Amino acid sequence: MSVLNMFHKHPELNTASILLVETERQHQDKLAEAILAAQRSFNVNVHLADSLPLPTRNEANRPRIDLVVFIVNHFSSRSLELTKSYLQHLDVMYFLGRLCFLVNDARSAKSDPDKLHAVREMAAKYSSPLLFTELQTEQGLATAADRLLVFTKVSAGFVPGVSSLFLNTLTSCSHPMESSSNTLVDTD
Amino acid sequence: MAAAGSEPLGEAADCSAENTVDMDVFQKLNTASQKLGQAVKINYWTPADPTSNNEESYKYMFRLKQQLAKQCEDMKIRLKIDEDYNFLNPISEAKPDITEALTELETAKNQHQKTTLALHRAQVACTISEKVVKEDKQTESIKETVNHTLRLYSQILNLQEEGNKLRSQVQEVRKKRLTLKKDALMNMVEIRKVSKMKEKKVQSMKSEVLKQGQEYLEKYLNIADLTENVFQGLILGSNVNWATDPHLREIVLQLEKNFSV
Repeated sequence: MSVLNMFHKHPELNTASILLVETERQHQDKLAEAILAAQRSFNVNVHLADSLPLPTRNEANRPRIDLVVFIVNHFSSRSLELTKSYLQHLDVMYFLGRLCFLVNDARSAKSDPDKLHAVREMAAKYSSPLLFTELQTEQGLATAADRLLVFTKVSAGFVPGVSSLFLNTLTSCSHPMESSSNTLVDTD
Repeated sequence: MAAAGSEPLGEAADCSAENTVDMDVFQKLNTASQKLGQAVKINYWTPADPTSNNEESYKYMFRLKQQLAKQCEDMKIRLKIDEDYNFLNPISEAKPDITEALTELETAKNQHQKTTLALHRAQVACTISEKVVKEDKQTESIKETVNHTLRLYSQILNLQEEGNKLRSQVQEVRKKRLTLKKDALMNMVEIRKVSKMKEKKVQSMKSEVLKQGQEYLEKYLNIADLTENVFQGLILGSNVNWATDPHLREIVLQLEKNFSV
């Protein structure tokens, strides 16, 4: 089973690489463009994929991937299942802060709270951050790109004193609570 | 340190006013060492701005150096993981440590959030009080809302007190009911006991009385039989004509009646 490995390649000077994985290829391109257009002080390579494992014929040309982003489509449960199966092809070191889940348009009317709950549970299980984005608007794209760049900076080692695991402990998703918001709790 | 070292050099450059060539050189050296000192000062964290990606600038060099150092640290961590890997029990040894660390982390996060909330609250209160003092156009609305909230708070307190009183009353009533029930049960049990005892007594008495009565009856019947037999014997033995006297006839026939019965 081919596994995407973190430390099998040398990092390039002042360059970071992001891998965007999305099963339906809806928002990858726009997000990649936004990342490349964002203000940054280092070079970024954005790789797009719709499944893992990555094809082996490009293995030699591919640089070291610093951040893996899974764009989960929470309108279909199939996307969630496929994403879970892709996680098997990642090296262990990615789960320590070099992995990120992304959900688009969670505020829309046709979103199912159960499916959102399931995505949150998965993110909490692998203690990775879960970003809620609005990739339909320009401002949303720019915001998402900035947030992802912060993650890449830390996981590529461009911020001295901050390791990806430190950032992960602050940004990892917590287990969602049971939805019992009807009980009023007495404070103090 | 380099910045401090450059100062006396500058003074020395100022003193020697005759040799202008030397001064130029010294000045250049001075400026260069000052820059170096500044760069060393910010060596801990060289800020990254997109404009300073000029390949030759000092800042860029230092930033690259820091990046490479950090990447080497990451790789060292990866190697250390392999060194420390316990093949027999990879997780179980560290599990209590992990759970402890996670709980500590959660408490630290919560603490931080609480303190930020408290800080925000303090800041808001401060700005509100300043505004109120300043007698701005917003002062009226602020005062209104504050008064409204105070009224609501007093209402809340009153209602809570009432609720507490009612609750305690309900509790007392329940207690009384409970004691009454217990008493009723006890009384019923006693009543049953007493009635049972009475029945037993009555029955035993009845049987006793019956027995005694029967005994007496038998005794007296025997006595009566005896006396009758004795009288009959007397009458027959005394050769009296008992057929003529009705009383004597009665007594003798009585025996036959008894025998036939």
